[in-house]
Amino acid sequence: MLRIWASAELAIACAAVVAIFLSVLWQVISRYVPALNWPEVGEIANYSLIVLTFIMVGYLIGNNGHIVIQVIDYVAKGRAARMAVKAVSSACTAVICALLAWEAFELIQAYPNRRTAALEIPIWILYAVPLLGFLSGTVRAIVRIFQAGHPDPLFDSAEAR
Amino acid sequence: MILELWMVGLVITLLLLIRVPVGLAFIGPSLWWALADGNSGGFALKTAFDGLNSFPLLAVPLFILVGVMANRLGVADRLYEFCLAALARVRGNLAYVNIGTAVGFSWMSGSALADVAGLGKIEVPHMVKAGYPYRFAAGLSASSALISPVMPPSIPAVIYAATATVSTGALFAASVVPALLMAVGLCVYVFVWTARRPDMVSVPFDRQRLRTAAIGTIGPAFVPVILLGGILSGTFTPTEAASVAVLLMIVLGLIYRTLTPRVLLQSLRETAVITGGIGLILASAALLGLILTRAHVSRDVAELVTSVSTEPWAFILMVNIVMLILGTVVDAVAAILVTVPVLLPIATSLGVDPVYFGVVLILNLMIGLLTPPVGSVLFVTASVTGRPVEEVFRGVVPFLIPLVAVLALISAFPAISLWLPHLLGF
Amino acid sequence: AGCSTQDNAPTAEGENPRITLKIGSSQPETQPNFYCGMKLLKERIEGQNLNLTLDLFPNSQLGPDAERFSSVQAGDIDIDLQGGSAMSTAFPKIGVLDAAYVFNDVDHFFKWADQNGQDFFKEFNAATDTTIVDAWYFGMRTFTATKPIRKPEDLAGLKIRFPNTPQFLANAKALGANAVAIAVEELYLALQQGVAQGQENPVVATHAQKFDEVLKVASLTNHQVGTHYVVVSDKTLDKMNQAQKDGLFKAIRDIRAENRKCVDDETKKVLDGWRADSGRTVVEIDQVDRQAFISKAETYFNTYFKGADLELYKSVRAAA
Ligand code: NA
Ligand code: NA
Repeated sequence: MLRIWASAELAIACAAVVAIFLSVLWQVISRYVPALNWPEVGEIANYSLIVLTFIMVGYLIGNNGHIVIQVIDYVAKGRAARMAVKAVSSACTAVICALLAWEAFELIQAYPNRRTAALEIPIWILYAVPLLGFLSGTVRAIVRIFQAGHPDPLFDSAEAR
Repeated sequence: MILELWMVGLVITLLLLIRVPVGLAFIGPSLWWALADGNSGGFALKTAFDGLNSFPLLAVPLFILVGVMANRLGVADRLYEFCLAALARVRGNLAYVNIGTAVGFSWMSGSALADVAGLGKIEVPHMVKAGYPYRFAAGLSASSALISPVMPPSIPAVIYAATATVSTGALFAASVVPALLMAVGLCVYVFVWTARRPDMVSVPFDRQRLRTAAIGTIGPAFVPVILLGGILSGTFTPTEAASVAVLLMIVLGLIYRTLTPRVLLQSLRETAVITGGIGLILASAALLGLILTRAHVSRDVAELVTSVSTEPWAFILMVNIVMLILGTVVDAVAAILVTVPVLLPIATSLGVDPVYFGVVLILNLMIGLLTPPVGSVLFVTASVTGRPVEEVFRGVVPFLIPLVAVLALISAFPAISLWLPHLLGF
Repeated sequence: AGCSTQDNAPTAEGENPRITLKIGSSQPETQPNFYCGMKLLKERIEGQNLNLTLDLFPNSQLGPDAERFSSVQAGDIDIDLQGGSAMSTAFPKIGVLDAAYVFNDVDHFFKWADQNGQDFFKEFNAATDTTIVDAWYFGMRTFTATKPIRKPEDLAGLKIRFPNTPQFLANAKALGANAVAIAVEELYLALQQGVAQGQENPVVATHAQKFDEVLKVASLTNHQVGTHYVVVSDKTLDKMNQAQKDGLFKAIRDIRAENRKCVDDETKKVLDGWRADSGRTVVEIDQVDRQAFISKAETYFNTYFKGADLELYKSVRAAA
């Protein structure tokens, strides 16, 4: 179940990379072919980066792929100590993600009518992306609390699936 | 105020220490502070969200994609082969090849990790086989990888430029000479090292091999031409140049017949994963930065700094010391995002050029990538060569001498960084 | 939410809360709207015994325009200086007031704001939960380019940078310009390299952002009255007592005239510098075929605007 969810998140993020590439390229080309001039592409590119970032939150928590600071590994050597660190860390992560999901929900309610400047996309649709991302992050972090006994496999971005 | 700002700093530090993802460790306490300060529910997320809404930042995923593709499409291998053929007869040739390939690849890659992951995997075993000690090989590969994030295109430069609102093009131009100086510094060290090692044999020179290898690098040579040439001639802006570089990689992949749908998909996945990690830090640092601004932290730090000295050189010296220390424990992107809003106003008020300041800041933080406890280049080098981190670090230590020397040179003489952007009219 | 000082939910009788107000703006500290605006407001307010403190955040320190305005709506920023188009994402109709040549000049703008603006600002308040107290002049938007622009035809063949919002891009079309969208961070470089051959901004802003280092011809088309609305969050007003609100509103309105003189002086100073420079050309107001621009813009906007927007546009034009 989480596997399918993860591949959906990664697929959306990949689509966002493609969208960023194509829209920025479009902006270059349209400067030389004025007929293609469509100022809205800048907005597509910017919101794609936002979508990419927030949709990947849960995926990266689930796969131990976020940028973390590994100092504790030098201190906590024993199995019990590592287990405790992982459990506490995951619990904190879950709380922060849950708070952010709540904030996303607040934003959706706070700006029912606001739209983006160029494409006039209702802004609440865009705030739904962090809502999904942080809900997914909360679930992933809770799952990690229960997996605290297992050491994390090293995450390799080159092999991301 | 209900909650003091230093408590936010304390909680962030605690969260970072227990391995909470950097981005979330920044957001959590900031969110709590913002609510306690009477802001609306949603303030924290909205600020983080808006922080990503910046055109210059779009260069980040695009330059990551360029570096990832250059690795996967065999471009790195071609550069290596060319340097190998060209430097065949030089004593200690594999060491110079290592540096030369790093310089070539640095034009295609914006971060150090793509470098060690791709090139380190090939070079270290090669050097070990040719009789170089593992520590020397690993230390050199890790150190030469630092040229990538300094030479344009550079992800730290893009992020600094966006945060400091200076021209990305100017920062790119200012980074070229410092990046080359790093290469020179490493070469000097290699020269001194090989002088005492007459046993470091070379291989026969093969004209045909060099010609074939040279033809193989014609395509990749277009990348720096298009990047800097395109930016300087006004064909496109730095962000747009990134998309053109991706296009060029696709064309090269089609010509070399290495661009399969599988390679393309895996490149996209790798880019998405890396960007997602950096993106969350970008977003969270926007929130932390706004909180520091609203609390006028820059003003307070400025008072502290100027009470010590108002000389620009003293300020730069302080920045060097603080950043070298910070760089050992904090991720470079996060460090740029958090320190620039605080330090840049001070730098400007002391008459320090913001472009030069950016070059110094980036160089400092890049050296931190080589040092424990938090040094991603160290970890990746250890992981791709299958040896312990401690051993890689022992190998890195001697190379810190030329790197810190170059840093001192660049800090002491702003003209080293600034003459090229000035020449080009930035 | 209240829309004037009178009908706000009042703070309890006799209460005199100590309040710190965060005021934001995109203007750097070198600009008239900072030193003859925000800073003056701080001095005036804190000089009275109102229990109010102002915390100034110029230079987009609190974020870009549109983002700051949504923070005003949420009450996270108390006061902000905002152009119309950034607020049009929340209240599209206000974009009309940024249409090219909708106002002939500054006097036309303030006359309209004082006589007919009240209903409009009330409607704005109902839709956004923010109160526009007054507007401060910011300068007439004008072209600076590589070539003189005297009539609409002169714009053909020039790529001019316009801010990337629907109303500004409509202005480009209305004037007959080829708009290019370039992020403001990259604009200086883009001008230098010829990615764009011109841009439009008030004279003081063009000079402050150093665009005049690259562009040597200024054409005083004065196609748009640049104003910053001084907009206050209703969440903030709810926390203030009547004396505080009255004091704040009066100070903001009193500054209008002083600020305008300040902007005019600074504009004149920059323009005189340009005129004295033999390497530059200033196409003066009377050398521009204003009538040709105005009728071209009017023809365009009479079909571009629809419904209530068109009604507003026509009523403003009728008062010209
Ligand atoms: Na590079
Ligand atoms: Na480090």
